Amino acid sequence: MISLRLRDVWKRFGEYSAVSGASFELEKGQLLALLGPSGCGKTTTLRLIAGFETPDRGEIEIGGRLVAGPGVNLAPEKRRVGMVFQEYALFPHLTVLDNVLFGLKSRDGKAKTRAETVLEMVGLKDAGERMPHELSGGQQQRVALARALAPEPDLILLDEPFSNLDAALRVRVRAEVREILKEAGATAVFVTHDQEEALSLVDRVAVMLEGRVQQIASPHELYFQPATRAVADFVGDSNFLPGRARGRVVECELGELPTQRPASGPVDVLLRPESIEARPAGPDAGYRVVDVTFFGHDQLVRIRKLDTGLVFDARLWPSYQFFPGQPVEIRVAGPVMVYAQNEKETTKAPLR
Amino acid sequence: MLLPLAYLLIRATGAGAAALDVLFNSRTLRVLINSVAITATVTTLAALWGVPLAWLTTRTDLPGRKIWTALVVLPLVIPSYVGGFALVASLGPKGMLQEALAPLGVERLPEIYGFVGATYALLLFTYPYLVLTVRAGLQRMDPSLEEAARGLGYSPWQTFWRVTLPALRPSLAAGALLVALYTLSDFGAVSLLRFNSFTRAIYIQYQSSFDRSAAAVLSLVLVTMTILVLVAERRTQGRARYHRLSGGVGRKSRPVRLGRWKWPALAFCAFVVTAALIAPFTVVLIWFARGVIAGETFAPMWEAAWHSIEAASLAALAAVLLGVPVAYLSVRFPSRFATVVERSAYIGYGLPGIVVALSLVFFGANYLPILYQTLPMLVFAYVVLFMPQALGALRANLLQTSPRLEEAARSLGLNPRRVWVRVNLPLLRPGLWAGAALVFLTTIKELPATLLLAPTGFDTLATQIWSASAEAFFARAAAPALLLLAISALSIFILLSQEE
Repeated sequence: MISLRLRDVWKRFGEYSAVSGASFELEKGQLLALLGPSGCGKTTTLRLIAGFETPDRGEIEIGGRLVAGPGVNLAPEKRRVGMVFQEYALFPHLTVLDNVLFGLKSRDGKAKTRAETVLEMVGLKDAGERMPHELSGGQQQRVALARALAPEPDLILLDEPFSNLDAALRVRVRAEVREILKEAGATAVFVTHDQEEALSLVDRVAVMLEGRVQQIASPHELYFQPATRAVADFVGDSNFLPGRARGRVVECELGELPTQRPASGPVDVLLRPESIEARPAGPDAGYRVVDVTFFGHDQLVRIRKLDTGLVFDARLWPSYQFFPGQPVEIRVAGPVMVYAQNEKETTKAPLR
Repeated sequence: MLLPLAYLLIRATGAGAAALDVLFNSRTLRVLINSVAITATVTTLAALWGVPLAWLTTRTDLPGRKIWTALVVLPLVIPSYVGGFALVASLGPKGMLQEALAPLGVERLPEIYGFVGATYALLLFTYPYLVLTVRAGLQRMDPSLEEAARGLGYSPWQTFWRVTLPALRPSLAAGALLVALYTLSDFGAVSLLRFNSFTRAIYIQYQSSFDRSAAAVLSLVLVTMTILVLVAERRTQGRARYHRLSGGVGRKSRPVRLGRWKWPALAFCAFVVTAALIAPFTVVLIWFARGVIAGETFAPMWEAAWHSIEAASLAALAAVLLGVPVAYLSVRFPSRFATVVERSAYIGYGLPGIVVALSLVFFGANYLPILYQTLPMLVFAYVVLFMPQALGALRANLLQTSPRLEEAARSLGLNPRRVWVRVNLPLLRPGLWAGAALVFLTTIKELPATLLLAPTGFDTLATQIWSASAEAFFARAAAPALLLLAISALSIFILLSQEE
């Protein structure tokens, strides 16, 4: 069942076009990340879904109900959407328990039981009587989540929910939040600019660039089969080199490589640094190490092809110790993605 | 807000040639010179008192810094007419000093009326503004600026002149602006000490002649001067920016050790506190005791106190009620319209009370005779004069509450009206109280507008003190003065405890 559907949604602020034709769908019970650089329109999209902004065009459906569209604009309080804000927005004048109770219509024992259940779910059973400012950042985060979950909304929206936590805490809280949402069976949309966060947290990632959703896919598919060159550029590190495709193979400076999809003509070949393997070799090898950045769990090695001067990065296991000037031999693993070049680039691309 | 002022303009220009006569005659020139002279003198002297006091209480190891800070700022609660009353009652020709010297054959003392007396009275109750602003500037200043100067080879003394003082320029300018505006608009001290600056001249014109356009013309000149002072302050801001350089929590700078200079510093503080706080207070107390012995009745005072509280409470309530929508509009939906609304609310605040009162007198007498000399008219004048104080408190409060809170409440199922009841109003409570307290405190001390606009027979503490001391019934002025000081001190106390 589809929980959230956006159809060709547009929003502009004066001269500035924030969202230009965003469309995507989300299955019930799934977690989706809206990933994009700052200013790509992802927060505006979230606020359009929540009802804090009105779309200029297009339709938004939540739980099968049209909430925004031609002649329809449901008030935020009628959309049954729970929102977790970047700065949490806990009511400073209310206790933790009263914050969680805030969205529950009735004031009877049932509401209180529900609030306590949700607080227990986020692991803050005993914090009910405390004030928000007495909690740590991670705890405030979980109260905000509990408050959004308490009225059992059709959809939870989270706006950069981890950006106010320090890096050490972030990884842990992220896993906790994922677990809580999965346990509650919630459908949720995260907004984030952090690709590691997006890839590790959710079932599906929607990449948004310049106001449009470029691709919506599982994290794995997104990383290994980016739909466009721009998406590939934004998600993960990438080397691009020119090549010429012929059906299932592409010919480039690193030799003839199998492609993931059939293509023909001049293309850009995407090489993830992880898909390049390198080994120390004798002095007649065709490649030399230019530079090494050692991280411990792996190392980034910049390599130059001697005859053409082509330079690219490889992410390698830390076991070999490389040094600048060292001769190496390389191998490219697996089929690669290729993207058709635009014409201007075609004329410039070296052909062989 | 603008309507009465516009009317003042019409009234003054309507007088035509007669207005020009008033504008260019030698008496007006005299008044102008007087006003400029007293404003410049009081501001300069206040800076000479205020800057050292601010520095001593923030940057040095002066013994008892906390207590000195409170004591040197406290004269702020003394209204200028109470100060003027204390001065006349002690050092006046027939004051306490003369009584003490009478056995030695001193019949009269030299006049304290006029420039010297008025300057002294105003200085005593305005220098705290400079202490406050300069203190704030010193506390905000990044100590690493001074350390950098020392590291570049400057002595402490050179550092003070080349780094500290220039960095304090905005605070100094802000404090000087407050002092200058206070001096220009003060009516109590100059009228009791009979110094002919604009406010007193306007009052006399208003009282004595049938043709009140002369008063209107003088008012416009005073408004022009006020604007010039504001412009001058803007000019001094210059191009430099004075923010703390880096984010994060600032370090406290190490206090300067005074060593042997401790004694002169203490003597200076003691002198200021004696002159501005202890002496006026003692004089009021002595006259109060004399009044009790002489069998003064307190009934009129209680009635006046009730009137004061009634009018001030109504003004506080009205200012807050009007302030909430204006502040909300300007903070949450900033637009040109919102800015215009907010700025126009500030116009009355920058104007001398007597000008606003006069314009309302004209306006009320001609267009709203039903309201003329009624309590609502008086309360309206207070709101025009003091609403920005409520506005400031509410604005600050609103700026601290994230609009995300309202959105959170909306998405949790509350409609806009219930968001106000359950989120906005509870969160605004400190601002509402602070704003109301500020307006109450200022209103209860206000004199010129009350004199001009109060309904007939509606005596307040302020008008009672003023008229009794203007006629040299010092004993009769003492009891209401004491009560007023107590109320002011109490409201300050409440305000400060809110800040904690």
